Amino acid sequence: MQRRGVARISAAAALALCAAGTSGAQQAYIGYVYPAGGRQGTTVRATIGGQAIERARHIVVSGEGVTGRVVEYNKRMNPQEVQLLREQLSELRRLPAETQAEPQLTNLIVRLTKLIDEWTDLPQCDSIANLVVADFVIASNATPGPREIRVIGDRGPSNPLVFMVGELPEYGAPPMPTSRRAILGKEGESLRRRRKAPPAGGDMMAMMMGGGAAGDEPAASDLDDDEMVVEIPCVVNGQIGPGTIDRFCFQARKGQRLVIAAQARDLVPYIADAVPGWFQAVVAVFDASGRELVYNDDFRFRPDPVLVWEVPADGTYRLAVHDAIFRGREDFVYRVTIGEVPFVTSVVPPGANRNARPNLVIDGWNLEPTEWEFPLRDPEPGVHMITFRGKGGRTSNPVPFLVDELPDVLEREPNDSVRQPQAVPLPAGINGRIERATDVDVFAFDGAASNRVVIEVWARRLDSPLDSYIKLTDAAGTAISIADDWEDLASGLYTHHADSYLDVMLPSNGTYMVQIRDTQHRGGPEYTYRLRISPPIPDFTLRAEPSRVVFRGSATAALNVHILRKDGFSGRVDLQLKDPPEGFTLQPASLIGTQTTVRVTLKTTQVGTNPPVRLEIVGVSTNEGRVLVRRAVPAEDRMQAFFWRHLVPAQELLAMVMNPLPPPQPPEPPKPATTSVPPTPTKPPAAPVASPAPSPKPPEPPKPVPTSAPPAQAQPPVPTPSPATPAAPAPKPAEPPKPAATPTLPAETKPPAPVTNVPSAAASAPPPAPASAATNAPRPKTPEPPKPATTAAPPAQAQPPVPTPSPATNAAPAST
Amino acid sequence: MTANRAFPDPRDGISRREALRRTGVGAAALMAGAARADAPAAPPAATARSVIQVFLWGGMSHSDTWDPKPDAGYDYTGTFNKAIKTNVDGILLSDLFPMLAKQADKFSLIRGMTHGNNGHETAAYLMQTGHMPGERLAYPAIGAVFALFKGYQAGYKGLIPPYVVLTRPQGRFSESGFLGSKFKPFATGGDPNAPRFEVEGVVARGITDQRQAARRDLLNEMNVLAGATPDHPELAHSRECREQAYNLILGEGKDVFDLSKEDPKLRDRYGRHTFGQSCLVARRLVEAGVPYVTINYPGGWDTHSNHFATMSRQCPQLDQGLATLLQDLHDRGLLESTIVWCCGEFGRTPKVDWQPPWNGGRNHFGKVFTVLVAGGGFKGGRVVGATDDKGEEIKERPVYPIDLLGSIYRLAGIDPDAKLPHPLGYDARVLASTEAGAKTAGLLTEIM
Repeated sequence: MQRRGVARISAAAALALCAAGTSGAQQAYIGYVYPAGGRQGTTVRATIGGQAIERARHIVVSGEGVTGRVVEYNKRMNPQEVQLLREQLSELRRLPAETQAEPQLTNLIVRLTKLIDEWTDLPQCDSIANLVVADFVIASNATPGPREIRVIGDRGPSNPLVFMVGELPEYGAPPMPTSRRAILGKEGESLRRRRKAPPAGGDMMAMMMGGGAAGDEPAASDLDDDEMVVEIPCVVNGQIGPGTIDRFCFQARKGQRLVIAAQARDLVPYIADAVPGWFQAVVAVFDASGRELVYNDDFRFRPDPVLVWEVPADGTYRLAVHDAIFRGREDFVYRVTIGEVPFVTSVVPPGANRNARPNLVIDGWNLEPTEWEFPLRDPEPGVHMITFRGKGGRTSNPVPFLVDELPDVLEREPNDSVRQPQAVPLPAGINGRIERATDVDVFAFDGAASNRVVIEVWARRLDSPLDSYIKLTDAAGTAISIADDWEDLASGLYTHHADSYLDVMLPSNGTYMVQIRDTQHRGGPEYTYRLRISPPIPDFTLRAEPSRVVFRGSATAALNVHILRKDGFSGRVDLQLKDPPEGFTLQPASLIGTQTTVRVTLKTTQVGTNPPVRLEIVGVSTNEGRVLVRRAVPAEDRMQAFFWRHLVPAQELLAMVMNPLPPPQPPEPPKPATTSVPPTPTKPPAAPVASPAPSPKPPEPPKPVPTSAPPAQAQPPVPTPSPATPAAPAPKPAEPPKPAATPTLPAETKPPAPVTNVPSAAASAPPPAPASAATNAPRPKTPEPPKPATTAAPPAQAQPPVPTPSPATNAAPAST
Repeated sequence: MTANRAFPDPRDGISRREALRRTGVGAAALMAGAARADAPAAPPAATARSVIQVFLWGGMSHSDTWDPKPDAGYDYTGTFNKAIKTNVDGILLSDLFPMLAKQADKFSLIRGMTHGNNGHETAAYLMQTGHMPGERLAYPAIGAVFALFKGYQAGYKGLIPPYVVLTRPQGRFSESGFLGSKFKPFATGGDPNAPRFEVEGVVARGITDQRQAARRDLLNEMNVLAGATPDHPELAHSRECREQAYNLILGEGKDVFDLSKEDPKLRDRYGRHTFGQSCLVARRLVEAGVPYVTINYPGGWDTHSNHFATMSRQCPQLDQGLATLLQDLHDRGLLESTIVWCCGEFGRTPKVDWQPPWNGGRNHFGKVFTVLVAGGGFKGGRVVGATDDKGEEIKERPVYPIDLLGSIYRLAGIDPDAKLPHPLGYDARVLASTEAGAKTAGLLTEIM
């Protein structure tokens, strides 16, 4: 019995997939954003922690409906700098009272006091100790779901971070100061110093602006677990500090079926220097007397806990959130939704042929209805994320759905043994489920000698709890090949690669059987799978890493493209830029044979891009007449727990050209003075009028490249999807500003061509799908708070939104 | 009920001899047990009488130290891009080791050490026991094996326990394994670089020797029972053990740990830091006949971050202590009979990880790394094995843990296939057998 996997990339090669980036020169990096989201129709002030983001001045947000603006940048200071600030602060405090009362100075004093008070000499993690304060304006009709935010500083755009748009009122304590490193024996010094929780009220913006006035120091008694009073349904935001437990107090009524869904790993999937390699959140609910009623650590195999809980009686309850082993740091960010909100736990069928339009039956909590029309219109093969409407018209969590080109077959019981298999054609895409713990599903197909057949399970990668185990046998039931787990490097966020895969050459003509069951002998209605039995379909998927490219004073930049081959794909893949913006080219590059990664070079003739442009790299392969075009999904190389590396998909690949200041011009030579006295032959020529030679003009100060405040541009209107046209509106191009006028370069550049996303096929990364109806009743905007006028803040930079279709599709209910 | 048990049943009660044995003071307990067990079979002829192990826990980078690749480029070398010649042609070391470079004729480098494991605990266990963890049995480390085969049961009569650790046990696994607490290392604690090296259980903290002696005298005065029964055999034995323990504390045993007896210039040469002085203590222990000494380096080598700063700080200390130790052993004629071996549980990635949060660090690398061996029958001035031009792959001659440990055992005259006394009688051998799947590429015959 031999287990064969074709085109497997071993763990060792997976390590080789990692690329440490350019040697020495660091790329901009952001590690967390808090709060990691906000409600439609509000403005959220968030803190972003990172490194190499000097002079952070712009925020880029993917998708539509959210814009970001940098308010402050506070770099991590060394003790000398803090001492200097202290001295400056005491200077300011010595000014006369009425001078201090001026708004500019008051705000400066507040800011300095906060910086000094929250400073720590030994951050627990240096790479998230430089802080950006940013405002995010969320439109009232912004589609609920994730966005990606990036910070742009001197080194160009950073990696992306998740920012959620929610539909419910939001709460959250003020941001946590940088955690201090724990020293053996003195761990108490690194405990979180929490400011007093603000009173109940749900005004997120007031909370984010911080606790009290200047001088309101958190007392030692604040070290501990303050409680926040909230009104459900709501979303609570927080950061877990070392050893802390966050508590939220709420009223609930008997009979309510509350969903308490936490997002922690969804926000920051991997932390390199933590074991476990992410914030392992746990939630628990206590009654008024302090008795624990429910608790959850993981939801099925997902580290982010979700519980549904029926409230036993009217009363006051407390939600507690903390790390499973009581770690904490400022990047231990969470969002917990509490309320009777829809939560989908399974969708049937889990996948379909691209031309089929099956109704989807969903299961979960607070869902009505449960049967839905197929929401995708002519979808590309791949995994699509779908959301559903539930109770109260709210949007559910996104659920993966697989589209492929196999004929659909529905599993039919009884098919539990080789004596009573279910006959299926070849190829087949079988939608089934392991209904109970002892269930085995057996499918029979006719195969020919020396034909290769691939048997692949899609379950875990579709969020099914099934841990599949497959066995290929002959008609009598004698095993030919078995498979349990199979490493799919394309699924960057799943750490248990539970889906099985077999690629077998059949020994003879005859009937063969495929048995599928759960390795852990579990089962239930949610243990769904889509089982593929087909000849090999050689294909590939690409990852472009990192998801940002910066041309810093250079016309070239490089990034890596990784290829993951499937079903024995061995063709040659040529890489190209798809619809590149003006002035960007990709040096010819290909992947051949068993090569897993290639470093590609981009060239540009642009001298400055602001905002950054979006690039799309595609791989083209002609394989026996079949032309495959696959998008290189942008990705970031992230380390988990000191060892494992993953390519975490991102939504966009950004490129930015940053030109340094042009060199100073040499001074002009002095011009000889002209005289108005004509020389006469008889007299000696009169000396020139003693007007001093015009002093050489001082050299022109070098014209700075506009890095901020480009000329005001007409904002392209944000296309609002209307219910009648679910198709994605064509994205309008964004006008870049004119680059610095130097004599040698063209003064005009054409606006970048619109980038249309080509969804990748046979990839686990969710490709964008057309946005469909998502009209919410417009929510009243919260009034804008007064902006602190600081002299140091960079000028406001509003990003012209470049609309990109949002990744999740909202389904419409099936007509009954 | 008790007849056929190989292991005493606590329910049966213990004999008073047993009780005294177990409750004896420190070293006295070890010595009191000496008479009981059978001595093992006579070993083959050995050249090594003692072993000094310097354990660089955390895993020291090999490409920055003893397998330098100065031409690999900045992505691989960072700021450590210089290699220096040694006093042996053809062997280069990183320029962080100028003193060791002058001792290259005394040591050899195994540049193809490998086991492929990147977990601290697993790799530390594997490197020091020669077994993979996860089996039923918790095997003893090489030091405990030496304590078994070269310790009291084999006729060792020293006051100092036969397996000494300077200064704290590593804490990754139980060094004595199923052999039991009798074969635990004797960890000195304290700091040999402090004005007074306070050895645990030997040198009392905050008490002068006079007071310690006065306490003993007081105890003797109060010991009415001893006076009343001067010829009782068990009490006499107990008294004997106690006297020996006090000799260790206040007499000759203590002298070994008393560094004030050393020439201050020699102490300077070792380096006035904990590691340097630990090397000096190790030499003194070997002189006193202790079979196995482990120096757990007083500092970690797990440089995921702050790699270059940590190496710049620690390598000069390692260089100074180790080089002086080799020279000193050689000068005293001890090197031929003392094995010195130095390594960590794995190496570190030759490619620097510039990504946050490491910002210029190296991660674990069990694929290949370097071990330094010297003395005790190992030839010096040689290199066994080689890596590729970046230090990432073995180019020739891999060496697995059972090859390295097997070679040390061979030189010390311990049979790697000898049975270890398991309390439940299981068949456990010193080293994993290759029939059972343990990887081997042969003993280090190139340097033996």
